[in-house]
Amino acid sequence: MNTLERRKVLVVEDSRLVHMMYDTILRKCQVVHAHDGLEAMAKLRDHRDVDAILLDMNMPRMNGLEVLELLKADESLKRIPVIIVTTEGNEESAQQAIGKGAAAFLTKPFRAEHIFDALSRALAETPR
Amino acid sequence: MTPSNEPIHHPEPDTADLILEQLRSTLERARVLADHLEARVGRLAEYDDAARKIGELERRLADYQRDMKELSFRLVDSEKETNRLLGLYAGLYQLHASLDPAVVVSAVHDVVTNLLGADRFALLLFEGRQRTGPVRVAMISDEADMAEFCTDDEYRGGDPLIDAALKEGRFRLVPTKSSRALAVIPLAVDDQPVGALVIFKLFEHRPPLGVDDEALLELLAVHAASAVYSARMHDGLMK
Repeated sequence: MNTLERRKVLVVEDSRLVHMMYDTILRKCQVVHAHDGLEAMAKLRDHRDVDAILLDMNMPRMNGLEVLELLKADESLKRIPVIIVTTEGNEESAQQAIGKGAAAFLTKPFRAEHIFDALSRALAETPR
Repeated sequence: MTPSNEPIHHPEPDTADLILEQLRSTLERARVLADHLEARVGRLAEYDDAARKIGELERRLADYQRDMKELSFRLVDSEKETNRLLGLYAGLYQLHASLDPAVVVSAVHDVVTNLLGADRFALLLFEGRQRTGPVRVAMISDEADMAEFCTDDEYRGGDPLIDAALKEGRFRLVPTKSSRALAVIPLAVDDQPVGALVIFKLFEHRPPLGVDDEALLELLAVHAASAVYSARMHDGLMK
């Protein structure tokens, strides 16, 4: 079975365009959508079995780094690998995200294969 | 040989047996040697056959390696193409998903940020249907970029690249010293300019605009224009 097949991925992103792209790219996964950090935390209460999170940095209400901090401070959620996908491609942002526990850091505009690679790598280390 | 009357000396029976035995032994050795030689010759033929097969396998391996290289190039190309189509599909869908001018402008913002990778940009639109009317700044990511050319939200003119795009529908990708813009994309419907998208800065991690971006820029030039135009027409009708 493919690493991504039937995995549940939470997409936290304020762009409708990017949500649509993820839907197309991650056809084999079950995709759960959230449009900001607060909605993401609410969605995680209903979807405790999320396998990975694709997280944007700049979002209204609660940004990506705040979400990452909350996730890593929560015993039941900190196992979920978080992949940051952002327009902020500078080294400082990347180090900050990785320092806070992100599994990978990708920049936008992204390529589908980069998302696949990062997700596959993160999920390969996560039991089903 | 000359005939001779000399008597023929027959060997003694023991000596004859010995010679016979030696002859038999020599014949046996000759037979073994012949077999050995035959085996060697057979093996040589096998070696030749094996060498031929190895040569053939090496040729096939080289063919496979060439095919694999070709396939990996094609895979990269198809991945590029898939990404391009994915971006265009999602971009088109979003641009034409609404007739609300604010939502359409927001979709343009989304495409320019997330697909084109622009950090600072502005969307300029003619106020009316005529391209001689005032040009409004419908969206700008950093007002400082156009402060010297604008009064409130009206573009007064003065930037040669932007002026050329608005007046002549001229598309410019190469930056010039006379303009702060990196690229100006004229937006037109039925060859009638409705405005222009001005790119001032790309994200630092993003490579410069090139031929790979042409399809996306074309999408913006044509579809952003028609989406904006349709939304404004609809809005006008509703009012």
